[in-house]
Amino acid sequence: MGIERIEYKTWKGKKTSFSKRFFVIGEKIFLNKINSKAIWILLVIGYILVHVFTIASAPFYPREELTKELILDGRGTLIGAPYLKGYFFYLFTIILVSVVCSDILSQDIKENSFVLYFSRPLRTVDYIAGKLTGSIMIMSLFCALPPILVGSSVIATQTGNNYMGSFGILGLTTIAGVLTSFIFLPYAVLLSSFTKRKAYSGIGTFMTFFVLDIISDIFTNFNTNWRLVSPVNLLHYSYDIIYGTELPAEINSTLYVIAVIMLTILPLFTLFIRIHLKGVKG
Amino acid sequence: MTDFVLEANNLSKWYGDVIGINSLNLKIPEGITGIVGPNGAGKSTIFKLATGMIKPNKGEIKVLGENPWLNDKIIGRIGFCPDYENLADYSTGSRFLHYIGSLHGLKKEELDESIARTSRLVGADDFLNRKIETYSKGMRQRLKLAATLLHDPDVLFLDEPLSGADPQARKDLIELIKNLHIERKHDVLVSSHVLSEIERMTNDIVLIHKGRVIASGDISEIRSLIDEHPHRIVIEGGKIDDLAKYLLDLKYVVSLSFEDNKRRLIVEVEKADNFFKDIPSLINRTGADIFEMYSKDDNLQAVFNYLVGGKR
Repeated sequence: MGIERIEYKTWKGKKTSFSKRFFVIGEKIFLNKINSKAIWILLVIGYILVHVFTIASAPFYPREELTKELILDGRGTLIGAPYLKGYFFYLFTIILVSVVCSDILSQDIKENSFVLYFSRPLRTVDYIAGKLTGSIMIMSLFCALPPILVGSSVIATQTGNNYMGSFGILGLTTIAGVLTSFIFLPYAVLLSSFTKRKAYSGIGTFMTFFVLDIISDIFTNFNTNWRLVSPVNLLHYSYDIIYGTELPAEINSTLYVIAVIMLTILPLFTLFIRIHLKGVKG
Repeated sequence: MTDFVLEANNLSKWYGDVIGINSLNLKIPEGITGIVGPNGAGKSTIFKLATGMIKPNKGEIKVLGENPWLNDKIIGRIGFCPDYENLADYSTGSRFLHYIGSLHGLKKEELDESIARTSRLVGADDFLNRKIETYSKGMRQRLKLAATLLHDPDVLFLDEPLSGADPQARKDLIELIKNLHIERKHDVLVSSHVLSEIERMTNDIVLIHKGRVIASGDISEIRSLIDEHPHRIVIEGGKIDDLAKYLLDLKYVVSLSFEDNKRRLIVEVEKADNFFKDIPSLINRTGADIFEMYSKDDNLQAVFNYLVGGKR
């Protein structure tokens, strides 16, 4: 090999922590996923079935302004079917989250690659934030980008002058898209930390959401608050809140908050505890 | 400033029912120190504790005078080369080093410079743009060493850095590790389950077995300790009957036995050095046709057996 002793000079840079280090992990995840054929196939099918017609028809079907009814329920579009509140949109979202997160931690467990991260000045929070950031970036390609494109094309061809109102709706649509990209991730990432097999993790995530929908349907007959058990209902109620609509009167707002916490904060907290204290790293 | 690179006091770590480290007491001075122990002895657990990856169940560990658990300042001063083979095979060596350097917070320009410097140092610059899946074991070890040095750590923890490398790569890596201390003043803690490899890097060793330190200090002292015990030496070849008769007359020969239809002779001796000094002339005198001769006890397990109670 030839050992070079002369040119090696020690680096005198900063050796303490770097606050945006999680972004390095996020970027790597995004690049890995975007090079995955499975993700591309899923994105193409999802776009064709959910987004393409709405995006393509928007410029040819001018409206006075962008409205929340158009974005949520597809009212006034060529197809006329619900858009963000459409079941296909939800279905592809949970399929995508299942695929994206299937190996997000399970691969690190399988390959014991925690050592690559945690032998460096990187906190558990940075690690989790990095994994979530990369996943959100991928999910946004399906959940946030297309609705923004739909909104933008409607604004570009709108006949009325209320651009402020339209841009306001576009902003809320962006928030709704980011929320959709994120809301199912914590649970999916948590599930990925329980197994070395990505198939178990992916199928487990999808089936959990699917079964929760069924349970919700069954028990709603007895009490309408059971609707909150369904991830799709929870997502739709969250859209209502984002777009300024009140929750339906039959839904308890406290239970809604608890359900959102159960779906997001609780899995993240559990994940943190598992990695930080229970020695997943070991 | 502490005089010790690593200190462990009554350190214990267990995984469920399995004990990784058991009430370990250790003081590693500056310089190069070898940790030697068979597989499963607890070497990797010591490194994980020292890099703050896992928390001890009992006792304390200090690196450069501070507890590494959640201590970014100390972890940033450590360069850890893990005994880990699952590098990003789909990636190139260069991209892998960029990723690792970024995790250390190095900015692009200084990272590029550091990658060029360290890869040249470890002899990885020739294959840095190839995909990692095409690398040999030796290349992977060099890449991991480059990743270890990227952020110019003060102390290097190298977990089985020679594992799987070919003889030439081993020789080069041993030289490199020695030079990292001699010329670059890095303190190095290096582990191996091969005693002779560590001997070529340093005289200061720590022997661990079943999560405990069973001996530490200068390797010659440990060698002397081992030499006090009888050694079993195997001689294989033809016409070894006469050789056996001569050996029986030697004071330090304790016993003799034949195996494999008198083609293998096992000699138990008290003074192995004397035996190896005398054996060439005996072979000449008897005309024995020797294919192979080796000490059955010149392996790490035998060393540990001696040290933990004289069992064979």
